[in-house]
Amino acid sequence: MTPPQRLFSWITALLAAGLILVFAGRLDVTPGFPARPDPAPSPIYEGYDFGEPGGPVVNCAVQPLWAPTGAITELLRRDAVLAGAMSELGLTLRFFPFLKGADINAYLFSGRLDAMVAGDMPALTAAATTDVVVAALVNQGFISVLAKRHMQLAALRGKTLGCAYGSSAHFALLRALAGAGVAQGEVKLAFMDIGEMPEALRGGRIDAFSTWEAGTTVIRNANPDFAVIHRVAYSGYLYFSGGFARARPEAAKALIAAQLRAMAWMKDKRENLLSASVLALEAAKRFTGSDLGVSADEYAELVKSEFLDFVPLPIIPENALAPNGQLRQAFVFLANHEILPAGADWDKTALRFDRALIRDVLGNPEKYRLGDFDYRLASQ
Amino acid sequence: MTPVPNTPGKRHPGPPGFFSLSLSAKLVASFCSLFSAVLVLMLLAGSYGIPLTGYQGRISLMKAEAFRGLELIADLKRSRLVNWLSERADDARQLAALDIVRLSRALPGPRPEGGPPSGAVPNDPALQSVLDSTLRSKPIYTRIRLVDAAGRRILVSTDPGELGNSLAGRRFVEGALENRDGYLSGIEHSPSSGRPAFFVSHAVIDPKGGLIAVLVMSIDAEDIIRPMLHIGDGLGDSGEALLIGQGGRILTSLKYPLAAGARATALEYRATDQPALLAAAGEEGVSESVDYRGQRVLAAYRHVRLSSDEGWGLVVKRDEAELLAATRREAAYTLCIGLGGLGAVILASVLLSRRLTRPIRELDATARDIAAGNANVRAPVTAGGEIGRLALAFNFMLDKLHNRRAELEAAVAGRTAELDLSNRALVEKIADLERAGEKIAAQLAEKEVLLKEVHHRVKNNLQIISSLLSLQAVHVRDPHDKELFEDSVGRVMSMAMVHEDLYASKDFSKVGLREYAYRLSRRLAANRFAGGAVRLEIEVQDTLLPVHQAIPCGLIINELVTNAFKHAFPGAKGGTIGLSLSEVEGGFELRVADDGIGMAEDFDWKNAQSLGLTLVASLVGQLHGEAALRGGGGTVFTVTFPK
Repeated sequence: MTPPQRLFSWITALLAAGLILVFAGRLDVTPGFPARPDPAPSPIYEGYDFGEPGGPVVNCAVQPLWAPTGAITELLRRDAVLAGAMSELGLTLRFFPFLKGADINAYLFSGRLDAMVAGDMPALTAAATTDVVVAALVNQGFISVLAKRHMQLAALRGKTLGCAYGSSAHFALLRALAGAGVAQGEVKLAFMDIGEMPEALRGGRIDAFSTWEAGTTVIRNANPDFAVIHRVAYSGYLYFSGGFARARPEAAKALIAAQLRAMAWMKDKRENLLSASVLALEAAKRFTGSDLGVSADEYAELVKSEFLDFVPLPIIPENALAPNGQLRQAFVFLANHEILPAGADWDKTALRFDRALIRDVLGNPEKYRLGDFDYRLASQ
Repeated sequence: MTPVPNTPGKRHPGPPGFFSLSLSAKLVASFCSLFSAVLVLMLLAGSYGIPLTGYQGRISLMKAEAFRGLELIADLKRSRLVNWLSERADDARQLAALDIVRLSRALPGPRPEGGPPSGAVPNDPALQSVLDSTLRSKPIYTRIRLVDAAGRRILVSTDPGELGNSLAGRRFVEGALENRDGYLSGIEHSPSSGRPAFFVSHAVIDPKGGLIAVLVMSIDAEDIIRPMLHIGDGLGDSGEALLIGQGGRILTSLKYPLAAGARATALEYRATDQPALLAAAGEEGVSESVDYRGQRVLAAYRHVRLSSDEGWGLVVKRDEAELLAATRREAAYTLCIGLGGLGAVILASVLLSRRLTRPIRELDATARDIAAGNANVRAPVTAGGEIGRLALAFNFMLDKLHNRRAELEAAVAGRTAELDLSNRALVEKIADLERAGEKIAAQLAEKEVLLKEVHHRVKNNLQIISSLLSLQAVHVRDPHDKELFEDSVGRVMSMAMVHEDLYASKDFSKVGLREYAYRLSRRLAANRFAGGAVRLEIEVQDTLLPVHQAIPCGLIINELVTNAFKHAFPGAKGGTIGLSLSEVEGGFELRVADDGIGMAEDFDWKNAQSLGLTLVASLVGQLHGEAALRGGGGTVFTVTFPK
């Protein structure tokens, strides 16, 4: 080979090496994730005894890991006024902790739950799928998208993103990506529970993930180098199975009244808010077996910033159901992304968001004892 | 491997394209290709976000820092707004909770919501005084009013001109009534001034828990809120913070005119850029986008939640061009320097390659001159190193070749002289031989003439002898003797005819037997048996016989044919005499046959007393042949003899 030929060979090799380096950075080396999570219920719920449907028991699904509802539902569990009202109705309350709203919906669809709290996506899915009555707001917070470094959402194109399937974080992530001009097909979604996400991100199996509070605060406390690159406002709801709400409307209203009492009690004094936060953290520890990783003060601030500071009364905003309202737009988005069942009808769905129950409760503060606070804080 | 013949003056075909260029062109092309490859690699890497160049890295870094700064300012602005909103909500809560408000006789007592509006509004100077003093102590408020919960009419106001006006359907009234608490409604047109105003309201509840009125406090958005969005110099000249309402309506006026030059009006112009819409819809983040002027901006956007159904979008942005102006100027300067440098490098590489390759080109020119036949040229030794040594070696090789050639030429000249001498001697020898040949030819011609003359004279002499014998025979009376004479004449003539044929032919040594046989037979038939009934049939091959065979052969034919004429057909009996001569294996066969009376079976012709047959036997012996006679019906005499 002559010297010019050798020179050309070197140039070619240099170019090839450069191109390999350039394209290697674009290669997707993330291991595959299932397109849908395992539909089987988590083994966490295997020991749950929901009793016979229609019995004198009100099965309530709660999410101890979800701030601020953890605090509200822990106060409901200890509300002697609520217990008394249920007793008068011949009913007993039972609370079942869940990891996320999609899991709750699975049990709702099988007729084993009467009342539950979940984010907007599970609530919309339930309302579009089955007979429910969505009665009150329980959250007005933010879903956060976390990554290992600050970046624009558009930089997630072609990446693998973690989220909990069927959760509000799933919906919020898709909505945020759409807002940044990234189509669903341009990313790979890895469905997992929140607890798995930090390790997956740190290990490079995913490039970002979406989570709700208190998950965001917990993960950032443990991983201060993780950056919140985007936040999406979302809401959470208290809803009942349609059969329960129609068969036992007074029980449903008693639960709404208990929520109103809990909110008022937490707003009344900082120490009340801290007490409720401690209860919520203890409930989370009972559920997961470990500390959540946030302090009571942090949790209290989450309860305020995610709900109490902006929601004097948990009435579902009327404009959320308007044509350009948040819920209507979310419905359209979910339908367009084929997340809602085929044939889901908005008018029917919107009718299941019922403001009458809470109005009735608010209109009869004495009947529903909105000003009476009696919490058995040490009894549970 | 087959060696490539190094034919002088003939170029070997090489690979086409690049490798057929000159060495200096190859060097320049290679250098430029390498430079271009590096540039392409850097551009490709840059397009994929891999900052191989300092420029790309700096741009990315600057943008990241700018985003962090924008996020920091956006968070500060949002925090300030939230605190400010909280203070305003506290103002309304505290004022609405005052007993002088809750117990004022100016406000109606509890009554069913949606009932008929109250009639005459009772005056309450104390309440009016509280509202006025609050307005004076908190000058950010433009008006404070109390609205009837039932009829939505203004019962008490710091602006007496609006008393009695209805505020039914206004969100700041309805929201507070629905919440039975405070309500931050956002920015709306003021019902009195029409200017954009922010309303904070709070339900007024009497001691029995009855909803009696709504306290509404308004703030001029442009005078109070817009200054809160002022950024100062923190984000350069182009930095701006925008407040966006639901649906994308801008809540305060903009810093710059729109792309078309018009000024946007608060609460009327709807922003369409992505950060504004996302922030108003409840999202928070950063993005690069195009703002209302059509300028590319870097923006951080936040959502400021006012209530469960109301929120503001806050966008803090900065022009990308301003942010990157210095870097881009520097990049342009660097690019100019780089391009200039590239040009200089190319020029230098051209000059350098020409300079470096000059000795090789001179060597190449020398080689071409030598290939063209000019063996006296020498390569100039203008460089040291390998090329100088190559030129010296080349010249040394040329010198040696030159010397070897001179030696070779001298040797060739000597050898050529020797060859000339040999050649001249050879030419002389050839000339001698030619002369000898000519002499031999002349002698041969002379000999042929002499031979011809000899044959002619012999023939003439024989004819004279024959004539003499014929003349002598005229005087012979005895027929037998006369016949003897005639036989002798025939024999002499047969020999004379041989010599006649010899000198008439080109070859003086051979006689054509066919012609001779015909002539001889015709003469015998004409002279001796003219007019007879005997027919002569001759069948002789055209054969040349040498003289020493032709004469005996002719004499044999003469004797045998004469005998046939004389003795085979007595009494003028007719018949046929056949004469044939043909080639047989290794010799000739002469055959004389007749259908005459024939000879006795026991006739011994070899011992007969006849001169003719004796002569025949003698002649056959002379020819080293054999003869046979078959008698009976006719006579057949056969003579065979070798060639």
